[in-house]
Amino acid sequence: MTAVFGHGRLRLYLLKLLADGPRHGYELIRLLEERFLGLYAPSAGTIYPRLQRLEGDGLVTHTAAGGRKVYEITDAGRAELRQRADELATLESDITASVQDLSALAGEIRSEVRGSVRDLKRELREATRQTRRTRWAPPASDPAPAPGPAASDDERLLAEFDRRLAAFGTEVGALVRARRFSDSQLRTAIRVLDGALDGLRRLLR
Amino acid sequence: MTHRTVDSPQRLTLDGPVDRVDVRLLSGRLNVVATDGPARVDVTRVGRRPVHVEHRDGRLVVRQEHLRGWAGFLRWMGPLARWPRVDVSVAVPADAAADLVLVDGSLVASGLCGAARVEVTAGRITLMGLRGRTTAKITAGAVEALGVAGELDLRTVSGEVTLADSTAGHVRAQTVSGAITCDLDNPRGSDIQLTTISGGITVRVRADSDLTVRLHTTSGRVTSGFPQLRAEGGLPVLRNSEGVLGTGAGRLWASATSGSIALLARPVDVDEEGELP
Repeated sequence: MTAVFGHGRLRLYLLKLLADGPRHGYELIRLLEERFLGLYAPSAGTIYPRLQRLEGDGLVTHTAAGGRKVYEITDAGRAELRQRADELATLESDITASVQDLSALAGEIRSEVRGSVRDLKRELREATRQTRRTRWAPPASDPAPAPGPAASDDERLLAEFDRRLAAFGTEVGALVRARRFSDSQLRTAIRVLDGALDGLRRLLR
Repeated sequence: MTHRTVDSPQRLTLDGPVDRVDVRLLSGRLNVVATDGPARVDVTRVGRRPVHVEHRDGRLVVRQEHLRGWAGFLRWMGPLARWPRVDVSVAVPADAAADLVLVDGSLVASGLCGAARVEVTAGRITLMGLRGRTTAKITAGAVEALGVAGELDLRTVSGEVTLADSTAGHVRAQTVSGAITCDLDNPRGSDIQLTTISGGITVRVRADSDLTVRLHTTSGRVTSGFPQLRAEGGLPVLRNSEGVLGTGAGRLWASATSGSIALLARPVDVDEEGELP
């Protein structure tokens, strides 16, 4: 079974809906739901990324009105729509057929849910890894033994570096835990840390 | 129409209201979707055993004829007897209450806003856009839900539970060995309880949540994206985490025995916020 909205066809259909007049995202979802006689309503998570991509490609623009983004088709978008008129006609008849055929429609729903679930798992796995990496790890409780007098300059510097690194971790960790910071402050702090790490990586590799 | 026996693929359109739908099938695919149009039952595949469709006083019942005698006994003997597979799709008004039972196969429920109870023994449950009180139970297999709101109670034994893009305010998920993955756009005062024995729990909630949080794992590891949560339990591995996010009006409890728990912060997208009702 070919997916009604596979291979960029939802994108094409969004463009078609916007050709009839400017709409905000939620209206687009309602219009799609109406087109499918209420049998299918795409989620916000399906619609917004596609609108953003359309905007990135210059086919739609948005204006903010009363806290809502209203999307509008551009001339480039209309040109694209004219160019793909045949494809759109096929899509319309496919939609009509899928509304008639409940089991094909359920297939669409199944594949959309499966796709979103797969994407979500990948995204959260990556986010978990990131969170683990940026989590504050306390320094080892026993400090590194002081280098002997015979230690070369290299080793002394290395030990000094280790001490500084441990002190840095302890101090920043203590600062963060000393009082409650707002989320944005912490997020900025994380970005600063990431930046520092990036700089060190570039220096030491 | 009050009663119809369907023994070949057929499409039935029902006159009159439907406020309750009960489906009992043994094996195959079952799809129940909400529609603005008239209620319909499509049987696209039917085995030797016919499907009974009954519609009376707003109650729609679809069931597969039960196996009796030797055939019923052989069913338990494994591949000696083929399961009679059917594909049934039902479209009902969104506010109809649904009670769906399928022994083996794949079940899709979409768009319903009344109470829905879904039970599958082995197979897969797919939920999309449900808005009422939803209970889903599966022994072997996954539950996948997208854009579900309202109240959710999901239980599996060996399957995964995944909730994507969910605005449900009340979430209970319980598995024995399956992973629980939830991405919640949780409203204020949410009640979220996630329990597993050996699966992992990954839950992402709004960065500006108001939740009292309790995370506990016996032998796994806790990862938290909220630095304001207090960490307990010995280093190097964190096993407990507790604390209050925002006003702490809602609650989030997650508990695993040997699985790990990750609590992540979902950045709040102001743009999308204004667009939703």
